[in-house]
Amino acid sequence: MWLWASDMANHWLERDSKLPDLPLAQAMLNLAQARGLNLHKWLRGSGLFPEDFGHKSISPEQLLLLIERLYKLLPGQDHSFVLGHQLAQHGFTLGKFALSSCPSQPLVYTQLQQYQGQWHGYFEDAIGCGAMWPVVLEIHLTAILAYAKLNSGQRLKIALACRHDRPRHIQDYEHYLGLQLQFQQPLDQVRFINADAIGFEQLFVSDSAHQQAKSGLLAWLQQQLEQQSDLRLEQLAHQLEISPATLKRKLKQHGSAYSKLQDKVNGRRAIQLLQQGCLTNELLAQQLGFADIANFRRAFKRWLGDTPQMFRAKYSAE
Amino acid sequence: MNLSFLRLHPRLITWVLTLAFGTVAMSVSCGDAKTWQQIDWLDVVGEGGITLMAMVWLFFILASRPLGQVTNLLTIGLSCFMVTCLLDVMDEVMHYDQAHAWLYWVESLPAPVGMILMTIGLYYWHQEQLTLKSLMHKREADFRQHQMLDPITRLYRADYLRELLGQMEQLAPPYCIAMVDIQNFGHINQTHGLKAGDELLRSVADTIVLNLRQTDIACRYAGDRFVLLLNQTKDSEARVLLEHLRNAINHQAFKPDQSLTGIHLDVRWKIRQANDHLHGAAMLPSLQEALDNTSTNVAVGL
Repeated sequence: MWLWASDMANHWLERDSKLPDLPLAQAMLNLAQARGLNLHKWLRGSGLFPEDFGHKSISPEQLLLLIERLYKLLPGQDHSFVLGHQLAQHGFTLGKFALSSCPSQPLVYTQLQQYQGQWHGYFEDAIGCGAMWPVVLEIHLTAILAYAKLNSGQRLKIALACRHDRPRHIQDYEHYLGLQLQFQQPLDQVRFINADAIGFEQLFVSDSAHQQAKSGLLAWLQQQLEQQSDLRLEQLAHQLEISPATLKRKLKQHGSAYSKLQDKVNGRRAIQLLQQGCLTNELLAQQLGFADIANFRRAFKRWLGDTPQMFRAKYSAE
Repeated sequence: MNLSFLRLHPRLITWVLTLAFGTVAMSVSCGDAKTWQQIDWLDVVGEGGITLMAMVWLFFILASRPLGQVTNLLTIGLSCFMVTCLLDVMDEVMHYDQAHAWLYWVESLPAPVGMILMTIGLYYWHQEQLTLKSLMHKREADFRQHQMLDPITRLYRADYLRELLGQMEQLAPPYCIAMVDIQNFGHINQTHGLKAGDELLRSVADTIVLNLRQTDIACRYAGDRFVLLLNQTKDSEARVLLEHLRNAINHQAFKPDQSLTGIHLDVRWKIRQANDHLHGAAMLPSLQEALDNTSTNVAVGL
């Protein structure tokens, strides 16, 4: 595990940050070669050549372009699941870092929480994946499950809720991720059902190395907002040692904005409290630092599109 | 666009091009150009469009068909039709004198000959399709949707099956659905590589098709799982069929790479017979679940 010891101030990655040794890129190359894809056609426009893999640094932006072009050029809809398996099987730097945003997996920001005796994972876009996000999520989740299977010999059972619509290739979700699936949900979220039986904590949680790893810009900012939800844009920019205008521009490049990130963090916190059994609006408002219920209701609607009552009615089946 | 078929037809392409340029050259050498005022541009656009379409059709025939009688007939027939169209366009812009007036009536001659040749070609094409259809037996029901073919196993994918089951729900005959899962496929992928894994899936698909009856249909479901649709079959009969299939796969040494050391496989299967409560595509998740639950018991020794 290497670090950028020289500039420890930079704890975040951007779309164009160059990353050496991206296992996902290597896995895609393997798949492209095995399926007889014309490599030059695949790499067109990415600034990469087949001989660059393993030698040249690749940015998250290039990685996303490679995923997009792979799906465009290679017939079939289950590449993400094959790639996830590849990542786990070849012992790429996934392992214990699978659930953190480590440099090798710079696209996903994962938050793990344990409550009501169960482990829960929340997955967010760390770098601005855009339309590729469902595919990235598929890769990430398949890698986690395949890694657990390889190391424990048992299937890690999950209940998955995701934001996107029910896909046409639902059979792949059922096969690779299990049958407990929900779509069009407010968060991308997993409940690990048999975490204890497969030694989940040992496999995924009990490693401190990931704390040193860099996160994508969006992940890094969300982490700051989670610790202190009233951080203003100027303060965040100050922490990053850039001007507020530069931060705004960078956020735009990553397909996001300060208010979007703040809504995301607050909305996630509200849902987590609801799921943890925080039931009355008064309690919820109090926990989230609102003195006034009416204000809270308005804010909730902005974060999640529904009032707390509507939200409960809609997702009470969970 | 894959143009590999075009490379098979140097002769036909030469024929078409010679005919097209020959026609234009003949018309130009025999006549005089009309003045701009004399040309009826609406006719030029209309007849030119037809000519262009005939050429596009020729392109698609040559780009999508292997060598053979049907291809020859369709190409020659359509190119005769193209000659008539070309002459039509040319006489909009050219004027022929008395000595070359024969060109006016010659122009209508190639089209009927071409139409006859194309009709014969289409008849043979029909017979060819029937023959190909019998090759697709056990892989395809009564509708064809090439976008739904799985490129690796050349079986249809799950969406085709779901569509098929949607149709059967109206017919409701006694039928069974079986799901077959290759054991330790992940391990094989890991040790032999992705390419060998794909090759293996294709071989297993072929073995499955070989062991089906005429009325059954095999699809690739997800990953290393296949689904068999067994028409007019009761649960007990399906069990016999699946045991035969498993036996056949057990006794085969699959050779996904060039080496002679074969890989021996085992499969697990689950069967459901459709009934009033559970039928159609709803049976698929329940089969997945049944297979998943047995895999937790088996895979510990992996």
